[in-house]
Amino acid sequence: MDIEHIFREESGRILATLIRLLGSFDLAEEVMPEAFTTALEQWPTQGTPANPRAWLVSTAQHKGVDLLRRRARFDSKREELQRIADLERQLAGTDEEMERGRTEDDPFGDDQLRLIFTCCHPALALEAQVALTLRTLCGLTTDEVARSFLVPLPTLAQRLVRAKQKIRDARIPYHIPPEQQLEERLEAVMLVVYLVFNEGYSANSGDTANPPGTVRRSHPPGADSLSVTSRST
Amino acid sequence: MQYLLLIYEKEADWNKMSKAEMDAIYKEYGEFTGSITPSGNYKGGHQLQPISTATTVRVRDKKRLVTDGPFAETKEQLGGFYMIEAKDLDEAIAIAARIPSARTGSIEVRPIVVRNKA
Repeated sequence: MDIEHIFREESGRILATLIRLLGSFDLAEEVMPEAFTTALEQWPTQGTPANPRAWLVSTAQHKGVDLLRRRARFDSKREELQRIADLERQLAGTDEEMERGRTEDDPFGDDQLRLIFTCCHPALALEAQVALTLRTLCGLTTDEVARSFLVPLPTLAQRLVRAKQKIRDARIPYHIPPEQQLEERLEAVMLVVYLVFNEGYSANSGDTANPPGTVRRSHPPGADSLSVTSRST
Repeated sequence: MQYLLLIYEKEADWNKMSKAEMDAIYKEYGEFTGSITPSGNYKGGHQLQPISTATTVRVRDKKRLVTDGPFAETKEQLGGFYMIEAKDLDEAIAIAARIPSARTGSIEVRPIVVRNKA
């Protein structure tokens, strides 16, 4: 599998995992490309790792911790240092997961689903929920999202910043909600699915639009649950 | 993480309640507070005197301005609050939903700012 293919197929899931692990949308978006850059440098000479996704997650996570540490040195905030310590502990765990990932198929399976429910949390305005999901999970650019909402780019960008701040400051959790709470999130999730379908069908920016992968809805009898995944089935 | 749960109610409705209804709601509040105390969620909370007892203070150009009320143009008034400890917003929302007044009024959930001590 070449790196370009992995980037196309896996970057959405890698980003979702990184957002959960690092607890920050911005930091995750910053370090993911760095991990791919490192892969471009190392894989041709050292060979592609057995589990490329786990390798990329782990590399990006290390870079995230390094970045936080460098920044903390400048403003030496105690809170930041505490966060780094927590992340380092967690990093040891992820490296273990990666080791296991050699045999297991999918160590970070549901991160994208978890993230959809975080983005579609009813504590965020519905339009912010949908915009954030399209931007973060579906790989649409801020410009593409703005166009699908018919709003100016700065308006949409500000909406995204505010939503990310609320997720962090009000501590909206990263988890799949229990079944009785699924319903209040369904509206946004369904709207996302619809807009993703639109974008996939009539891509705003030609070849550069991310193919959204498979969007699947499963309705087990008696359970109003929704499963959205980009995994090909 | 700490959250302040602000309880907004129509004070007019509250005033119309009979003694029996009042006793029932206080009992329910007592049970609610009792239920979030052993779990470590309860950090504090009080009912407030009605808005007719409220005073608003402002300082402008170093001059103190004291006025009656907040002017209750809003439909619901702040009637009380809980300070709680919760692991994330979902836990805070779940606790807020159990406040008896959530059925008639509304509960505003506000995260508390954490500042580092220098």
